[in-house]
Amino acid sequence: MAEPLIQLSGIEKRYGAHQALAGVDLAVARGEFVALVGGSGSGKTTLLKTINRLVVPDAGRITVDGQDVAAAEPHVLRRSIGYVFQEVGLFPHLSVAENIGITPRLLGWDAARIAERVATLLELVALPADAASRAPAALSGGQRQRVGVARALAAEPAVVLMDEPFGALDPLTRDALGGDYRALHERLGLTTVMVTHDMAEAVLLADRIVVLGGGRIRADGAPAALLAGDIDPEVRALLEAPKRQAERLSERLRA
Amino acid sequence: MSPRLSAAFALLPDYLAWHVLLSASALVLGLAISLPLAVAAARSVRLRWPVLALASLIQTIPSLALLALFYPLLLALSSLSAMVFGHGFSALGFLPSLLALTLYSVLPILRNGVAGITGVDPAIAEAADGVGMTPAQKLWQVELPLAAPVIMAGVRTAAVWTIGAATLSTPVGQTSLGNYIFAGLQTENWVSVLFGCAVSAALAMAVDQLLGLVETGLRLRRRGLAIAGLAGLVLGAALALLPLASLGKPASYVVGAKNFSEQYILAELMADRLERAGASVTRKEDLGSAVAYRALAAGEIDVYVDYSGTLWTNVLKRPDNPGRAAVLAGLTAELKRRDGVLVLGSLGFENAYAFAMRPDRAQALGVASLSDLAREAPKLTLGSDLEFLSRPEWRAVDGAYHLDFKAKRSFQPTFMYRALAGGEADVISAFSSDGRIAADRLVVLSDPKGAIPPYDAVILVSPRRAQDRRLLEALRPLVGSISVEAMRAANLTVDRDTDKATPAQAAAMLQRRPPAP
Repeated sequence: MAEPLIQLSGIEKRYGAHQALAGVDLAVARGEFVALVGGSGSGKTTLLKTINRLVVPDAGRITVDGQDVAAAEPHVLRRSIGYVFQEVGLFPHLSVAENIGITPRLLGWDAARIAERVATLLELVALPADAASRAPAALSGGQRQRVGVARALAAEPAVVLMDEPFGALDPLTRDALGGDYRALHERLGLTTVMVTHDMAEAVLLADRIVVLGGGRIRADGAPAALLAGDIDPEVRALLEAPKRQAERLSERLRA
Repeated sequence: MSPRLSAAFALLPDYLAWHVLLSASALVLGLAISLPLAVAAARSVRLRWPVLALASLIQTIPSLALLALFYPLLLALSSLSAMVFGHGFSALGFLPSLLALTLYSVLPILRNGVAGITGVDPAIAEAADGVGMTPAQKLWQVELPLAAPVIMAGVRTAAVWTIGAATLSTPVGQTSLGNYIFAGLQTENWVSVLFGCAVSAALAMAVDQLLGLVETGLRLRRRGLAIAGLAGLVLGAALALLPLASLGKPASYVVGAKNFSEQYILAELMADRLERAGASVTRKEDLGSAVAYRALAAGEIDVYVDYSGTLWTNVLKRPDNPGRAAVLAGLTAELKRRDGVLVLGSLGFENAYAFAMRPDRAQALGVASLSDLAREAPKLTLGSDLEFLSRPEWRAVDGAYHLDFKAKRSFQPTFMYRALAGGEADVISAFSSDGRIAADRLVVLSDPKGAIPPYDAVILVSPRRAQDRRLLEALRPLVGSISVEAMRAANLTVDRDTDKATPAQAAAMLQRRPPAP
């Protein structure tokens, strides 16, 4: 494996009496699509947020492209990493175009370049061009998250972090948006780390699944390899859940 | 239009201009203080509680008291500045009013500011961090725009409070719409009181509506609406302030007056004589009793009339009563030595505290003197003005006669006479030069033990005008020129219910009278 793009070593984080992360080591290669899965309280979201320093770890070291993330100003770091999360968090007082163009504007791009980039991104996330001037409140949930993805990609980041990005969407939209994002990941050569509690989504989208539990990594590997290997029954149950579900589904639909 | 209404309209440009200048400055200053404070308090939970508690505490201080408290504080600061930098500043008027009103405007803006900023959706705050904003960019580009409608609602509350409370700056010597109200209350000119209330209420409502336009514009993100509201505010303020710009030449003399009819009349009398001598004059009326002397000693007013007994007991803190002539001589020497204040001379009449009763009541109880009153006091209610019971004169009288009243009630002087007429009080602490004593045929009780000090009306001149020949020559003819009967008659023309005269008209009437024998 080549030099990893994202390297986490010995990450610990404690909230009061709760040990959220108890020594995590993880390396993500350039171009990889990694899904972080686990039950609630497993530490997956906390781990994701240490990468763009929305969470500052108590111990451990994180590098992105060889640079220690603690060495840079947090806002400088975050402008180079795309971030998408479940609540989307579009700025309600800005238009869709202004939302998408926010990070380029913070980086001081000129207006023409920002406008061009916004047009490209709207097309990339399959939104109509006339959405640009609308207010976020005028969009559907799925369209809003498409804007969220476009905003994350605006400043041409190499790394995209996603925190349950499609969790609040209806199943059809979720499927369509997941597939579209995976295609973008390929096309733009992104490195993506996605937190999800939906094992089916993880299996369908990711190259590699990292299972967290009690603040530690419990299993790590490609979906098929994971199941073939020797893992503890709890993790096996978690990984097999979508398969069992699919079997039951086809059984019931056949009957 | 009735003459009282047209008199009120004539004063409007000046009063309104000062009221607008004062309220607008206080509001702008309040915004400048409370917005950064709100941001800091929204950021730090530890800071939030003490800051909000302090602002709430300030809000609980009665407005008039807060305004009055700034006067001694500023006076001390001014003398400190005079010592250190060689020149002081005026502790009276605009500055104490501005500071007190600014403090009042802080709470609503601060409270809404904190609520607005902490109320921003956490997902949007996280997105601001996530897209790479610095804390300052997050504040200016996300938190403040989203909190703006809530903050504006606080600004509206503050504006309405400030405009209302600004009427209270009149007693500390700042011209405002309160002049209509305070002067009207004293002279029972209800047209003036209502006029002041109406103008101040109309001003508050107009400002509230314009700020409401700005708020709606911010909430609906319609920039045009917000700009229209702001333009209306700026334009309105500029129009209201126009009279101040043309005011131009500074007044050479400042004539002071306390807050009752006789004082207004005497201030008009002195102002008229100074103006006839070619000087320009500004008036600072409705000063509190204690504020007036200190303002004179500090040179903030040049001349006003006070009463020998008041100065003797309250300024010199003397508990004794050596007699009328000795008090006057003692004052003249002592005030000169202590503060450099010149006692120009007595006007010729006394305005002493006098216990007065309705004639029927006095006769029925057989009361003619304070000794008689002591005997009947446990059955009687005393009506007094707002300050009498806390003054040394009351302690002197009570010490000499042991007046053990059934009840003691305080009134505005105007209402004190009403209470006596209506039987809510049996005896009142009247003033011997008050026209209402003669008009209501009240019985003034004699003081056989001589416990009440003499109250000769004296003209006091500030230290910096003590050598001013123009002023001294203009005012000296007034010494010994007014009898108590003339003063009573003049006071009555202003205080009576019908056919009221203005203080200036009463002053003109006094001038025409032949000098007292």
